Amino acid sequence: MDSGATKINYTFTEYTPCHGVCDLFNNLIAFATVILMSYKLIGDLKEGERYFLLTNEAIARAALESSVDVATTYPGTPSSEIGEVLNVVAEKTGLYFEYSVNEKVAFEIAMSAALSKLRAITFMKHVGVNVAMDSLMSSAYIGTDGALVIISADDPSMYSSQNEQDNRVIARFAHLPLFEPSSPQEAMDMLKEALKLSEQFHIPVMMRTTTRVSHLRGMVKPDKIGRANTSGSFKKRNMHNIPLPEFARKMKVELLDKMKRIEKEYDITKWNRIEHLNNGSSHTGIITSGSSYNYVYDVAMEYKVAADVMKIGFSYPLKTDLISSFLKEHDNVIVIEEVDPVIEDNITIIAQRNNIDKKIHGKWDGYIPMMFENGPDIVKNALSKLLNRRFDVYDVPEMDEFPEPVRPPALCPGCPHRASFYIMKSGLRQAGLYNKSIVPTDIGCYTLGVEQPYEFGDVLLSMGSSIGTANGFSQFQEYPVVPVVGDSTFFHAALPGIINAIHNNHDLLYVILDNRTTAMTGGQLSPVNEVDDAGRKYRAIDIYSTLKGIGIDHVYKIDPFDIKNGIKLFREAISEKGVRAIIFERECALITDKVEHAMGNYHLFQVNQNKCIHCMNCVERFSCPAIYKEGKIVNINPYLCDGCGACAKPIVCPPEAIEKVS
Amino acid sequence: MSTIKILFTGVGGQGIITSGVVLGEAAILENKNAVMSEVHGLAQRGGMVNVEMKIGDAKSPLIEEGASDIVVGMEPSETYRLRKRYNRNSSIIINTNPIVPFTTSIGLGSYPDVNNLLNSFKKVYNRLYLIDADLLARKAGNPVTASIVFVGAVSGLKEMETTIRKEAVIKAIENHFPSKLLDINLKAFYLGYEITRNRDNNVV
Ligand code: SF4
Ligand code: SF4
Repeated sequence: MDSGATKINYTFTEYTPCHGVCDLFNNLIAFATVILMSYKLIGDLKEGERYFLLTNEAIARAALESSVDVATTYPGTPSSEIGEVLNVVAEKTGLYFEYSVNEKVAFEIAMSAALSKLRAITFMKHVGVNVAMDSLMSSAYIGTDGALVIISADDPSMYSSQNEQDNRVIARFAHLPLFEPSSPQEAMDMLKEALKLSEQFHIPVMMRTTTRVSHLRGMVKPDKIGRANTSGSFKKRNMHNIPLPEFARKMKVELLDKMKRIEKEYDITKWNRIEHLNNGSSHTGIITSGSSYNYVYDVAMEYKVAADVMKIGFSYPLKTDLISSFLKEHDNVIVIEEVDPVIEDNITIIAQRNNIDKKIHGKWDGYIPMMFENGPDIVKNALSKLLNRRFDVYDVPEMDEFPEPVRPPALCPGCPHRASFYIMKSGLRQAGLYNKSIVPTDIGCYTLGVEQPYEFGDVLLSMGSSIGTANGFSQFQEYPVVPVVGDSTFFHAALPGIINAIHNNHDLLYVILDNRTTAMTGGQLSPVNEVDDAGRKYRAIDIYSTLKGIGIDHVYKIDPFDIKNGIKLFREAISEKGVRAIIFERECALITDKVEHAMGNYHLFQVNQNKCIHCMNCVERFSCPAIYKEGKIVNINPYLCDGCGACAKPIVCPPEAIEKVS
Repeated sequence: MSTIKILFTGVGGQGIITSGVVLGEAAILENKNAVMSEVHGLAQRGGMVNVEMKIGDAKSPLIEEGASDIVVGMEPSETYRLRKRYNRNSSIIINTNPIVPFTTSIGLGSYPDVNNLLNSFKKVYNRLYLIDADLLARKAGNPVTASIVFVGAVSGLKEMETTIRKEAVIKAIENHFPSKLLDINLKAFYLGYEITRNRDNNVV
């Protein structure tokens, strides 16, 4: 999170500190510090002792232990904590850590380190790998002089992603060896091994985690930390690093040869091992990887299932002989893996090519679902079907029927986006354009604008897609087009789209919700910031002058908490033609809190029941989660209220019944 | 029983992860294995949060249907939502304080009557502990210690005696919190501990 050294243009001095809840807030801060401290502690863990760590924390620790020199990322759930830890512990070993502008740049920086005889890692969420893809596809052709490991954090069941693509497919597609850890300790060991493999065969290596592994906390035994070195040496190799057709063809031959050698020479027995659970059985053979292995183990132990389990930790390229003999030695074989049938398909091919006539159960015959994450119940059902055995079930009693309230993810109390949505929705309504405008939205907290009551957002593909699709909508249909983007996403992927819109004379109003941080993933650095958590300085990039500089004549900027003028400005901008832009700039409430609370300032608003006219505007149109109604009475939950004061403006509460508590 | 399975449920911001981490660290101090699932990402504050944990010989924290040994229900309606995940004989600790989401104010869904809901729990479960954790936390000196009240309540359960000793949990709390927050958290721990200790259920 931003340290607050970014200038805040808004003064809070008019408010007096609240005494009633200060203690509560003081301790909330102290709790936040606990978390930050524990990230720092990852650099100081004692070797040989046992710790309860998140896989992402263990990965960051492994980077220190294996003397990684360079680590780059663009934040994305479920990979973000790796960067959060490295950002505060990098100096322990002298590692160079960077939040890059997007995953492609992050990947390219890591690749350049690997070409300079350094050890590099780059990590991102699964869809982030798509952004890096263009360069990633050529990386194995060119190869490495040092080491490069790409960590892809996949998100089966889409807890915080737009799709559940299985990036193990990319390993085969791009010709990268692939590791799949199941636990924090294994992720740690595998990262170290992957770096060695990369160095030994001069090839980038991929490691795939999934949400349930990335966010699994378990026991880890750390080792000594190493020492990073950031002065590499690039060997000029006369076009060897340039995949012009003539060279690219040679590189492809070398690459396939490398993969063959890895399959043959690389000893994978440590990673693809056979476990004989409950003394094993030649009747039942289970092939599994990643998180699914954990479910298989737990279910087998719980119900005393005797089975041989081949745990695949190194899943590409698969060693043929190991698989063939496992297939031959077991009567019933099932493959249990998550998302796509990647290992299952590979094994089916191996069976076919080795004339092994055996039915392989798994996803294709419905033993395991074709989508979403696995879990103990799925594995239990599959094994029950495979073994033709009924497992005990628990006595789960029926209860009376009750309503279940919904708790969708919502913008935080005090969030500036809420005011921006209120402005835009009011502006569109006043201009008679409500429901007569197209709003391509983008990826960030503000995606939640699609929820009631704002319902602001019509289409979303990927990072930066709001402006790209807006280019098209402005041409192919009649409603005004209002694409929305946040500051970090703006720099990540929106610039070519804007240039395209200007160059082709499109007609749209680009809305930039600048909250001065990469908020959704936990408040990491954004290119608009000058200083980070650790006090490091950066050159801030100004969105207003960027837009002006590339040729947008009408660029507006306003604090979204100035709701009344915001609506006026928005109406003006929407009535114009051509490419225009409006920037709503106000920092994320979580940053404001941090800065304000550190200065001892706490604010709280409450409804003066004598003044409230029960119009319900604050509840139904502004809808801060802290405001609620009980019958006709409107109240503010003091534990949720952030004290931002946005709801107290007469444009939200006409009789000014919402008052600051002092 | 070789492993103890604990299901935590509540609303983002209640300190669910803190409760789990403290218990897990205590398990490690006792030379036991522990695994725990966490949720991070997309606007968690005010959203549903479930954490699952196993102590003992287990690789995945995810608990199969009905199998939870202990339920830490930090919010009544969230505990109800997960009723398929525990069974008649699970030890169920429920905070009696509802957190009504703002969505009910804008006509999205509704919140059940808490007393009826809790009475319904009383009818079917054998080992139920209803606690006013927020009140106990305030007694300890601060509402945010509610998550440690729950750690105390879990530690007081009979089945925990042979798994993690009270002393290990106290040590984990000492390791986890800076000294200025230690006293109130230890107080919160004991307030929770006394509620469940040596009792088969405690309906208040
Ligand atoms: S002041 Fe109003 S809008 Fe701001 S957090 Fe409190 S209740 Fe919500
Ligand atoms: S906007 Fe003001 S007057 Fe209207 S219901 Fe809310 S608090 Fe009452």
